[in-house]
Amino acid sequence: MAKIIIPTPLRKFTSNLASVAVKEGTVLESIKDLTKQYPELDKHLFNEAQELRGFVRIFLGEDDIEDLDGHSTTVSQGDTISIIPAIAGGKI
Amino acid sequence: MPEAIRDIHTIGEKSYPFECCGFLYGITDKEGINVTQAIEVINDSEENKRVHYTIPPKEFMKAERYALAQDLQLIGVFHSHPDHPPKPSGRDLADALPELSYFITSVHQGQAVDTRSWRLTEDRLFMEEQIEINYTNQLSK
Repeated sequence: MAKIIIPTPLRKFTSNLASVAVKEGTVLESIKDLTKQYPELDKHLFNEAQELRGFVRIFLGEDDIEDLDGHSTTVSQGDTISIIPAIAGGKI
Repeated sequence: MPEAIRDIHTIGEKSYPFECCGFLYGITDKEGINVTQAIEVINDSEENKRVHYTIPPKEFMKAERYALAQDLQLIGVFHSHPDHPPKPSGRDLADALPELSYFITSVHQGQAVDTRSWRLTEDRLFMEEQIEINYTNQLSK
């Protein structure tokens, strides 16, 4: 198993757990395993097109997955994935 | 609350005509949420900062650690809408996180005139929260 670190605002949806054990695979598969365990998270992490929302930034260990293989980045046993919000918005 | 609001207004006015942004810290008790600090984060948007703001992930990590160290809660996020009402846009909504308060300050011609707070509902819609503010430097209300 790998684990995903949950940011504070989303812990309400993981029974206040700061981290959740998930299946290995790709980053996207691991996150899907998280939302399978905690379905209420799905609408906050994924938009209607089932794409990750703009604020969701994923790190594998210390590395931004955008600098690796993106959502296809391989997650191995014992890896730590962090979901870290990039806050964004604006008047238009 | 008024001190934090004054800080937000000052930051919004200083940043005009660009959008400012930052984090809100405070405590939650039986009377509700009490915002005690508003700390600016540099708007990191690579788009037009007059209409958009971004707070990068590393700043969010720092904010969570700061709240922990200060024995405070990370209550939410503030940003300004230069020459625009303090209501969330579609873009504000699309990227909003649950369980946070979103303060939006309208800065009209360089003067902060109104701040409203918004929070996501379970259906991912924004609902306005009531906040108590002592307005001293606004045009109306």
